[in-house]
Amino acid sequence: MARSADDTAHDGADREPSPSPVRTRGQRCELLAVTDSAEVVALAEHCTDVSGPPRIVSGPEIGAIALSVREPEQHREVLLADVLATRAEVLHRDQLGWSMRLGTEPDAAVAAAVCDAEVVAGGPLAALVEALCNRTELQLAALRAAEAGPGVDETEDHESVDDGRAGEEA
Amino acid sequence: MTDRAPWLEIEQIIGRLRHAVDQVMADGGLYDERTAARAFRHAEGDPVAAANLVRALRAALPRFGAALPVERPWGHGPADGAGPGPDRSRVEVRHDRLPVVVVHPGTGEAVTIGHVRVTEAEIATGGLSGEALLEQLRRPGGCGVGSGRAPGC
Repeated sequence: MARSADDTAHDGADREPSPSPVRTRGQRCELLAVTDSAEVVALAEHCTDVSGPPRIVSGPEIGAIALSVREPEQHREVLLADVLATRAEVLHRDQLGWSMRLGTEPDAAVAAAVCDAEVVAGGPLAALVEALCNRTELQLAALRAAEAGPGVDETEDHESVDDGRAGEEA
Repeated sequence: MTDRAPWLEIEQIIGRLRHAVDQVMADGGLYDERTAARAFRHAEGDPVAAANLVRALRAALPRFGAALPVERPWGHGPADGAGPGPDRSRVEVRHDRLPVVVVHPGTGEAVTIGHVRVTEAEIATGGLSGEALLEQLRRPGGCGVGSGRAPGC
């Protein structure tokens, strides 16, 4: 049954929630981290329209995360780069919400934290948050299916450089 | 003479000058396309100056700690199962995405907040000596793992 966000905002308590896969909070945060900025901001505004503005506990703050790769056999760890990210923590419906997103997105980070808290608190728009997560999950699945898997993209063969020591290696 | 050319939009730089953006990210050591694009635009197309701007920003940023290391097996081996031969070396380049995984402060769960594009290069030496291998590594093409789509790193 098609329902608008406004309908849900006013009488969510007696409506059946839309069926959604059971997600952990971490899985939901993963999806809120990559969901469309405009959508999550709009949804968070709906949430706060009902319950009032959230209290910003920390952030939104832009910072750097060190990303490294580790080779599992010898456990050698190599720092690859710093990655820019934005994080925020809010108090919404007496629940702490947390979010971290790549890039410079203060509004979206706060909005995602509000949505996180909305679900944790069992708020009236929790079903809409889960629906947004569902759509994001489908979009990600479609993107992954469209991308080619990792493989060798380029190969170059070179003749060895003659330094007079090649025979010693045989 | 006043420059009357229109200012490049960030999306244009990211979409159409992606190698420059990748180079600025890799040389600046900070993965963020929009930041790299802004720096490249501010530097009027000078990637070295743009990378310096990015490094300066990176040095001033608050640290959010480290993401969980990505387990990345090195030594995939040759794609066709055969080595390059005793007198040859082979450079293989892969373009891939690595997850950025952080720990949720409330639950302790590992949370993937996104992915970054990387380029990975692997060299099979085919019996090259150490000095000969170093000579190969100095040639354009480079080796190792770099952010973005840039085999030189």
